[in-house]
Amino acid sequence: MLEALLTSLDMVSTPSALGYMMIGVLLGLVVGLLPGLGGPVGLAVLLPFTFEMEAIDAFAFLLGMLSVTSTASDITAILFGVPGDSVSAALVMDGHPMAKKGRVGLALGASLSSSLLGALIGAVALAVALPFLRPLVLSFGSPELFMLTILGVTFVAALSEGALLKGLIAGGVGLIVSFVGMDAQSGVVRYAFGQLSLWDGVGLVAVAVGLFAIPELVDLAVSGRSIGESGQRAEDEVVGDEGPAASGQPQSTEVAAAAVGEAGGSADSTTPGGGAAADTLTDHGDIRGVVRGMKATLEHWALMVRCSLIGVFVGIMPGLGGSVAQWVSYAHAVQSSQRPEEFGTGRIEGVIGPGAANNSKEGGSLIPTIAFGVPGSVTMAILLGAFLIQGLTPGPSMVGANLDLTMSFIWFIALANVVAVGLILIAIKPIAMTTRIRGSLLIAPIGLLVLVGAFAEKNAMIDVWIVLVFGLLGLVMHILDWPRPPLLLGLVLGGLAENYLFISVNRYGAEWLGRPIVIGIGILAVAAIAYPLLRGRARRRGLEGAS
Amino acid sequence: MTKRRIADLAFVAFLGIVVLYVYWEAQEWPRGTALFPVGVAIGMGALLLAQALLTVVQARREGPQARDEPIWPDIDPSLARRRAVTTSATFVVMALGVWLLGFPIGGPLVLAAHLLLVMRERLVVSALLIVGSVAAMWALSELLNIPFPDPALPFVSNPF
Repeated sequence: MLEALLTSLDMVSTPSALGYMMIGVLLGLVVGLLPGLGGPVGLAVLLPFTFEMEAIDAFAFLLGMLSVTSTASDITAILFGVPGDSVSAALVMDGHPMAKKGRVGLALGASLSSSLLGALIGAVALAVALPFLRPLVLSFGSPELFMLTILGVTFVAALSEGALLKGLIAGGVGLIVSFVGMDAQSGVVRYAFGQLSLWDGVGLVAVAVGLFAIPELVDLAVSGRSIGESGQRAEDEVVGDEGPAASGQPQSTEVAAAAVGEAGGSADSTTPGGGAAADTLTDHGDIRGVVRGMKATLEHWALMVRCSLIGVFVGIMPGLGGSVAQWVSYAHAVQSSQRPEEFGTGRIEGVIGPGAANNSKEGGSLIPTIAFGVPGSVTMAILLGAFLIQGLTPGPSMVGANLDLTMSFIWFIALANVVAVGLILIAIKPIAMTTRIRGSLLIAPIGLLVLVGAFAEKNAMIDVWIVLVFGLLGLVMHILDWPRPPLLLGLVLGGLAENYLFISVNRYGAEWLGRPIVIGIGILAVAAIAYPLLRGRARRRGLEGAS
Repeated sequence: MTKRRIADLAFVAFLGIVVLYVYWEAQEWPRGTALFPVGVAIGMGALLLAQALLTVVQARREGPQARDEPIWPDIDPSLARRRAVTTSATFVVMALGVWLLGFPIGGPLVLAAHLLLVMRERLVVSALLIVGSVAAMWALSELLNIPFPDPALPFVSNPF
């Protein structure tokens, strides 16, 4: 295995492979930045160009593009609250509030570093797991996958921002939206209002950008300021009341930055005086802010590794996809934090968790595609086309005769992410400067981009109207303080849960309930519900005792 | 009861109507197809009822002297309302524009109208953004092969 890894490095380090990878990376960054044009669209557009290429060049080109789209789409989620792809919607939750408070450098640094490290962990997982994966994948049938979706639904509690009942209702609305379209079992068209475009269901991008981007743009317009200033005043008040000034600490950014520097490796945002101090600093994209964000990722290395592994696992499981990975990892970041109530206001863990999972899932989803020819997502199904174009048969030969080529994928994923992060770091100042542009100049161009992105997902005009409908719904929910992430989680998981349950019941009757992995995941799901409730009760008792 | 609590109740009532429709529509389908929608609708009905009761109880606890907290605390409420309505209307007009005139014409045209007439931005800055949006439309259509739909108005055609 190690020998193959080294041999594949020779294949990767040819000028043509590296050149194609660079072109792929540049295109991936562009595709990722545009809302609606995620990995599947990018792959579909680029696939025809690979007919005449050597296999190594073709995969350098395609994987170079695919590996970096989510890194790029995280950027628009943080800067404008507009997820470049549906897999980046969770970054809006805490990344955008950080940008609004002028901590765009911190957010981008954390996002870039967690994306890079997540991708590297995904690549290593691909290398390590290939020989051992068969039993794991074969042990997960429809009943186990159904239970995984139920486990995902239990994370609604963590995403409800302290309003569990409203969160459950929002999740239910997401489930209802997931029913739209043709039922795969019976062929009955449900809730499509006679629209052919809705037979496919409601587009995730249209819902995500409507739900999150439109309310953010309205917020920006109402504030009458730039993005970087729109959340600043409220923050100043908090700092004024509870921050350095109140505690007799230095007030200027420079001095406070030095204080954080002194805190050094012990700075943990869950402990006072550590990351909490870092969190109150504004940087406006300053390179020091970016470096602090990168340091924060390393300080939260355990969270980053756990979320990367969540991404790998979700990637391996057929059908779950990146949208599930980001929300599950975000919910995990909330659940594992000592200050879950602060999520949604700009917690750095809310950036690190989904950032890492988004990129690590690529390595994970390649595993069943390569090893069994089972594409776990639309993106992987298109990539499977590239295998066939190159005359390769996914399956045992990819870990036998073609092991060198398979190992080259690991290098491409790792190198592409390093190059992408390097390129973004070079351009970070002008990227961050967009948060200082007047809101009045940004709103209409971003609004237009949102509509184009929604249309581009399925090339259907109805998605433009869906953006408006969910934009209005998102605005109402935002104004009335209803949590929005559970709605998206319900939409993502609803269709999957229904399909897996149908197959499980038809194939196994009631026997599937007794399968050991089903019981194991069931226990995990109960624990996922009980843990936050018990922890909340313990905290309340602690507070009562202290008072 | 504060306006916010009333709005909360109105939102719950709206969702209740949606849930009723979901339940009613599912009655005509085969059992397997209707199982999930009916199950979710019944569960949602119970949750919405609980939420409505909770809102009423909270409103009673607050008493008649309760006041609404402003949605946007730093901004004068009437100004905030006007800006929110203007921006929302811009998105609606933009969607209508791209539907009637197509993305390549409708998008930049609404953008121009918003920048010059609503926001009263400087001509040079506005022109730059409009040219940029036309270039972006061209690139999306020609380089990424996004098939922009024909405009709904019969006498307009897509330039790309």
